[in-house]
Amino acid sequence: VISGVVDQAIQAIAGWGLPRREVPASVDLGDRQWASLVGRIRLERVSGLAVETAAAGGLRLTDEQADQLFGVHRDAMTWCLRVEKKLLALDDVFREGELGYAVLKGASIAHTMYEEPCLRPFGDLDLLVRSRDYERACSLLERTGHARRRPEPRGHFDVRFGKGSVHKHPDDGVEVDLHRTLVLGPFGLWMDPERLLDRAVPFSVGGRQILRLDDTGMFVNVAMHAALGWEVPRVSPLRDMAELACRGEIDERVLDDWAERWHIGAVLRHAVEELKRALHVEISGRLEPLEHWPISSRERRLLRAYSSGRRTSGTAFATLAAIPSVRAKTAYIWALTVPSRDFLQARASSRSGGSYLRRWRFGWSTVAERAGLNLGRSRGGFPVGGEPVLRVERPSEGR
Amino acid sequence: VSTTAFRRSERALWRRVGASVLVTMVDHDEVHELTGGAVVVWEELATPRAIDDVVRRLVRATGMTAGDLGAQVTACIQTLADIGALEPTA
Repeated sequence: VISGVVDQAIQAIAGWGLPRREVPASVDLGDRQWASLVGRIRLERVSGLAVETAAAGGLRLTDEQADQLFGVHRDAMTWCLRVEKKLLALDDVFREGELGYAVLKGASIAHTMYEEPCLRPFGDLDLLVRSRDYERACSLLERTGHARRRPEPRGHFDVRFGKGSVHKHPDDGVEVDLHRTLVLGPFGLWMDPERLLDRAVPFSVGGRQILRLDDTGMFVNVAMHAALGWEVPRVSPLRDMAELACRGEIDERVLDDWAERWHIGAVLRHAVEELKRALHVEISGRLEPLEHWPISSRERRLLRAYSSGRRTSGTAFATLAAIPSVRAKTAYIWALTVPSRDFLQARASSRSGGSYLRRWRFGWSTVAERAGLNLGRSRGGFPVGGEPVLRVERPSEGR
Repeated sequence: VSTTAFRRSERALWRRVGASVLVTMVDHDEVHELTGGAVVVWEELATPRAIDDVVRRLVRATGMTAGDLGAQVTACIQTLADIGALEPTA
């Protein structure tokens, strides 16, 4: 019951002010439902829309609940201001280093696509740089006191096969997601982020002109984020898509060209379907062609790799599809199966652990699964924490 | 002073939170929360205006007298200028 009412409330909040097939009924919440909803509002970064929904009567809150909601929103907005200061500080660093970049999502979409920036909280800073500048950008961040969250599996892995890296300064706690492409995996490798940067346009923060993706690039970014980010898409990127569809100047010819050239038609179609399903919105005709974009079985398979329970390994294997040469595929597999000690050490504190043995066991189990082999997980093959021996159960010739 | 026009500083970062406004300066850590009449003044100064002009507009909107409002508006603008959120126009 809790999740049903909370889902209904989140849907009402995320769709506030959009043209919808039907206006949702006003939602009443008990204490437990409210506690759960507040958590979702924070997680989904929709506090601004929640305040507006409540003000319009879409959520019926007690005075105490309303105070709590304002508190959550105030905290979210205070954080956004801190992130924007961080953006301006990094802009100084990158300008001095003569390194071009564009802001992705976050501040750029809040200031340009939403009626007011307070309607779009954000938690970190996503910056896109050219692949050729990526390692220099990492060095600039390191020189200015930022620590990289996790090292590369092997040298130059990121610029060959990766999406980017996360950096944080101990003094401010703001995460800087440095990208060289928009997403991890095959779709991130097939696309050409240089084209996105070539079309970047300025927006204003703190009296400074900073580059962001143009509306078409921004749409591609948020749609990929919505479709490939989580098994069940978050509502914030879906709302971003709706804002862009309503207010943005999306160049349909360019979008079609990229969809075909970068093999992202299926991704965009999936995102549009999710937008309509989750927010019940009536989107403008400009996105209609995407709803009918043909999806090949290969694209369907690759899309599934992003949303399966084993997202990390699924994306890792799907990436092979986008790596052109055997030599490069070998380098990719080698980097992931025999990563550097630094990488393993950094992974050691994570849930998946950091030993070669664990890595191989995990990797091989996925390979074997894909090859149709039964590893006998339920028959004592290698239960978690048990004997670290890989046994493949096959009928012997003699039996 | 009352004929000096003020505008929002470009170095002010701000967000609306319901009926309040959070304001901070690019080069300072403090975040200031504007409420009540200060929010109205902040909104009025989305366009550069002289204090007299702001007072005149608020008198028209609220029905209060210039005598009641003048000192409060002047003090509010002065405070916002002191923290750097407002600046006199050239």
